[in-house]
Amino acid sequence: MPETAVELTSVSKRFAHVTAVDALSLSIPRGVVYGILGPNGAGKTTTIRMLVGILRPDSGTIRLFNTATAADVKARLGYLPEEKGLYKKMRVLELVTYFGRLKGMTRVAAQRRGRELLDEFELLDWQHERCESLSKGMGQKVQIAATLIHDPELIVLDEPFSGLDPVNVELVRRIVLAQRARNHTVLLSTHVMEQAEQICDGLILINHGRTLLNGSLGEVRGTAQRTITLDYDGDGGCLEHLPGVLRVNNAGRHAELSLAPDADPQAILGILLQHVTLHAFDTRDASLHEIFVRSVSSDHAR
Amino acid sequence: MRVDVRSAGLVAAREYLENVRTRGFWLSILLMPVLLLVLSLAPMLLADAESAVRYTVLDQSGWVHRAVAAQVAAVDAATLLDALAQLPAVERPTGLGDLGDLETAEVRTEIATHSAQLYVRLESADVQSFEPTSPGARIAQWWFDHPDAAAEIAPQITAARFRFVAADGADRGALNAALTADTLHGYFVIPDDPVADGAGSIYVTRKLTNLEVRNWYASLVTEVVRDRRIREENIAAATAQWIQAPVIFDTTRLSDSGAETEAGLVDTLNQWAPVAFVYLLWISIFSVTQMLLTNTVEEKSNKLVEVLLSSVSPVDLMAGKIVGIAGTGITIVGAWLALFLAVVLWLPALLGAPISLDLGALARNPVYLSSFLVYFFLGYLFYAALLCGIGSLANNLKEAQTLMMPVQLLLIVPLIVMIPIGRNPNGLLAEILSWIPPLTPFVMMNRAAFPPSIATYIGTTVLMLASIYIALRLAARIFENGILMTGKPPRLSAIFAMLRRRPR
Repeated sequence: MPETAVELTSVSKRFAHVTAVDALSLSIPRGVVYGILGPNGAGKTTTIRMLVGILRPDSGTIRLFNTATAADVKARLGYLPEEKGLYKKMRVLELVTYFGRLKGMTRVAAQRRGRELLDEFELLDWQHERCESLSKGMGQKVQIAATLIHDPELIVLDEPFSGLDPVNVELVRRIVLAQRARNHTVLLSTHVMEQAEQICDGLILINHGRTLLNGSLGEVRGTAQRTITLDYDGDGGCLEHLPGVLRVNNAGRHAELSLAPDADPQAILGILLQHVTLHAFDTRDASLHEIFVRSVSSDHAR
Repeated sequence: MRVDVRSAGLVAAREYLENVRTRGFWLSILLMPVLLLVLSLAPMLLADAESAVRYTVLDQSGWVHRAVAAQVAAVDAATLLDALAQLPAVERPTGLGDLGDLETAEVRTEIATHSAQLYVRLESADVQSFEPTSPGARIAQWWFDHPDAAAEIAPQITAARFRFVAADGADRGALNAALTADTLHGYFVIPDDPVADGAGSIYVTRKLTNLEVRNWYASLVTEVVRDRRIREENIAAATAQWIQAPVIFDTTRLSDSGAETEAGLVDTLNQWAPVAFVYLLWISIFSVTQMLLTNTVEEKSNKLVEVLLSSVSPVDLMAGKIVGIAGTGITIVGAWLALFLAVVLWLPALLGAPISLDLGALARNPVYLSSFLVYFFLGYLFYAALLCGIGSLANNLKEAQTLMMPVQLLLIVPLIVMIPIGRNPNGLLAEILSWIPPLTPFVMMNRAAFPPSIATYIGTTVLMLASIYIALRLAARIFENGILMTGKPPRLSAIFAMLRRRPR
């Protein structure tokens, strides 16, 4: 059995009268990039905070690297929270070194690694500047450096792309993929589905603290209905009895057909050609964005 | 509640260095004593700068004010003459001409006589032609013409504080109008025959908060009236002096060793010194714990705490902060103490104070310094625990200030009782308050001049240590829960719920 990096079993957390996380289970293998998605207030940050050990779950268990809790493996864990702050008066290298030492590194090792990271992030010239003199983007890069300085095997990034310009978004993406290449595990939360789609191997979609979808990117996509869109002339009555079509949205000359997972678009095309004149026929997978919107709105409708 | 020493140590070192490395930190350390000095000197400086109080006299007796004026003029003339004599010739006011030797007895008598005459002229508004020829007369005339300039040269003269303005025959109605218009501070009415009986002597003013001029003038009038009574009764001057000689008690201090020594200023200062130490203690504890509060709130509000908590436990974080800021506090207090010692050891010598004013005794009193250090630690730890808890609940400084209110009320008590306890260091009030842990450090410091029993020392310290332990434990629970909270600060019931929760 491959080592799992993260194992949440039936984890719940309540704040006063709100259930932030409700019996959430999640298993993330080593060496993958995993996305945690959900609308605002879904419980992403609470889940992440429990995972990194700064909140305790009310019930359920959290295990990191098969055996331990976050407190035992803090040196193998790197965490970048959503709201990012720096000690304004500290100098850049000093700050990065400080966080490395809190994770158990020696001063010398932390300084050496800190310089390497700052160099990688093109911030070496700023190593002796005070953090208050950095721009927002530079500040975020310093925080990422502070997160990675002790070379953690599990990296938890809460909204790592928010507030970054396209160049730095690319930089973060590169860092995430480089970590995966070294068999390190990255868990990230994001609102931006396109980014999740591009870099995540697996993802969990939560709403109201509960799991809506969970699995590899392929599995998640598989749960979603594929769609056929068509423009046609003729009697639309035949659309109602097509095999494998779950739902029809017929506008007279334009229609959208939601397909069951085992539906065969080729067969459907064959039937359609016998009854109507087709001007356009298109099948496609639902985008993560569509899946997200659809799942969340149907969850709300329930 | 186990503390990881390495993590807490790292946090502490960072806190300490962040504070101590800034220039502002050292400036503020220096600023504090300067501020205290300015605050204590300001009333004196302001008093000098204050303009003289204007008064007048309706003298129905016809002689009392004249006699008072002559007495005042004689004293002031001598003062002015001394001041003029000390001025280099070039700095003397122009118009005085060549004054020659001002030290001779003739000049002194002359200026006193002329000045008295001028006083009288002033009062009667009877300005006859007066041709000043001699130096004494010239000075008197100049003084008469330029009272402000004279007050500047000789700030000790009476006119610098109390300025007589001629009544010019005004009646009480007119003078009352002057009081209302604030051109006059007050006026005296002297009855027809004050020698027979003082009834009818009146001082009229609107400003009851400043009765200095009344007290000063009344004592002078009493003196001249008494002289007149003595003369009317044909009592010999020597006899009169003997009758009036006051009895002075020499204060003698019984020392701890049982020896009787004459009590000097130093002895008095020594016994009041604990009050000064209480004040220093109060400022130290207040400002250092305030630093801790600000720092906690800042860390919470800029979200750094989240990253920190993924690396260290809340208890380590809190312990590190308390230790780090304690280090900062010791640096501050150490610097202040060093300055204080420097002042008491060297300042008297620098100012040429008599050897007998050996303030170094204050500095060398081991009870004071050791009490101060011990009670600084105890007080700091107790209030640090409270403020860490409070800081963790607040999202910004404004919220923190609101939550601080009860603590601030508590901290006012030592200041209120500072003087009463100084007067009666072993009274019931002192004894009771010593046993209330939040007040123990201040009250026990307050009592250091007459140390209470060893049992009291031990008992209050044990109680204090126990309170610190409990406060730290409870603070750790609040801190653990509060530090990640956002939104408005929790209600009291929620805080109690945190206190009940078991620590991890």
